[in-house]
Amino acid sequence: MEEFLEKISEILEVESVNLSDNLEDFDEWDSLTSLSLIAMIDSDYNISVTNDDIREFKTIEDVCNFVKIS
Amino acid sequence: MSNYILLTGCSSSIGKSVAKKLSEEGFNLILSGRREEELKSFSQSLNNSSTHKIWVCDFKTENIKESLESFIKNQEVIIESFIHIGGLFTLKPLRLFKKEDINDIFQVNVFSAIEISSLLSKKKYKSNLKNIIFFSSISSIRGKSGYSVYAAAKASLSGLTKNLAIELKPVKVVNLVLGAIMTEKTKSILNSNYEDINKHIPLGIGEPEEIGEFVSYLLQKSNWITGQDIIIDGGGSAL
Ligand SMILES: NC(=O)c1ccc[n+]([C@@H]2O[C@H](COP(=O)([O-])OP(=O)(O)OC[C@H]3O[C@@H](n4cnc5c(N)ncnc54)[C@H](OP(=O)(O)O)[C@@H]3O)[C@@H](O)[C@H]2O)c1
Repeated sequence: MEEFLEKISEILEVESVNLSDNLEDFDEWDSLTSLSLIAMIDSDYNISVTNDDIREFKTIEDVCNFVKIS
Repeated sequence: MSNYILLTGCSSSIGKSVAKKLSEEGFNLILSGRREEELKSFSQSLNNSSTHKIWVCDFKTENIKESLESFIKNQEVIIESFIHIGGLFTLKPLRLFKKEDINDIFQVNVFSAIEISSLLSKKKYKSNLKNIIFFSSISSIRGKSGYSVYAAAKASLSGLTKNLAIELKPVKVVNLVLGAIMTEKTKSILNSNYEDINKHIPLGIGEPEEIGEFVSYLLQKSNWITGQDIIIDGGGSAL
């Protein structure tokens, strides 16, 4: 879990993230960072995420739940 | 000893499509990639499946020249054309690239092309070699965010093409610069954004079959094209 959150922080270019944080609130959250998130989940966790899935994600917790990381 | 076409990246959508077209035209193929089982079952689906051979090599970790040289010796093949479809695409902001990501991208897209061409340019192989075809990307001439390292690697194939066309003449060396093609990879990246991309390409997104047709033309009909980048992009870069 911690490792996953670290990877998300790196993509969003922040020190750390909390489960309750809203993706929309991060300055760096745009189409390219969302593609980077797709690529990271695909290469490191072997799970394919679509753009449509990404649009459903509101918080960091939603991303964790999708990847089934707890 | 029979003549063969060496096709890297044969487990990809474009690779399979080119291989299928060339096998239908009666060429003997050396199918290459990392996934041996995938290549084997694909090979069985092709025309003259018993004549095709499989060379498994990981361009990231193996000594490409040694591996290919021993393959050529053991299998007693003559390589008449080298078609380098193998590639590695990573889409992310520049700030997220680690040194190993950058190395991997250059290794798979460019260094492998250089090493294989280098081996095939030795006297004993070069006399049989007629064609080298590289696979580049439109991102090497039109910018887009997230593509920088991949584009830099693909762009170097253009320099390689021009110079090898001189150094290795009369071997014909051509660099195919492809726009967006509908492949498994593209589908996973674009997801539901096809409409958006179609709007930016006059003739819409390309099909892998287009490429096979053109490669077949280059191998069989073209005698006076070398050292060139050939853009196949449905008109996307005309805009
Ligand atoms: N699709 C497009 O829209 C598009 C646009 C412009 C240019 N291109 C270029 O066209 C070519 C084919 O594209 P594609 O989308 O069909 O390809 P892809 O699905 O990305 O497949 C890449 C191919 O390269 C091989 N490969 C990857 N890493 C390798 C490694 N370390 N060692 C050896 N082989 C490796 C893979 O084989 P294994 O997995 O078996 O190793 C696979 O056959 C690529 O060079 C690509 O850059 C594609």
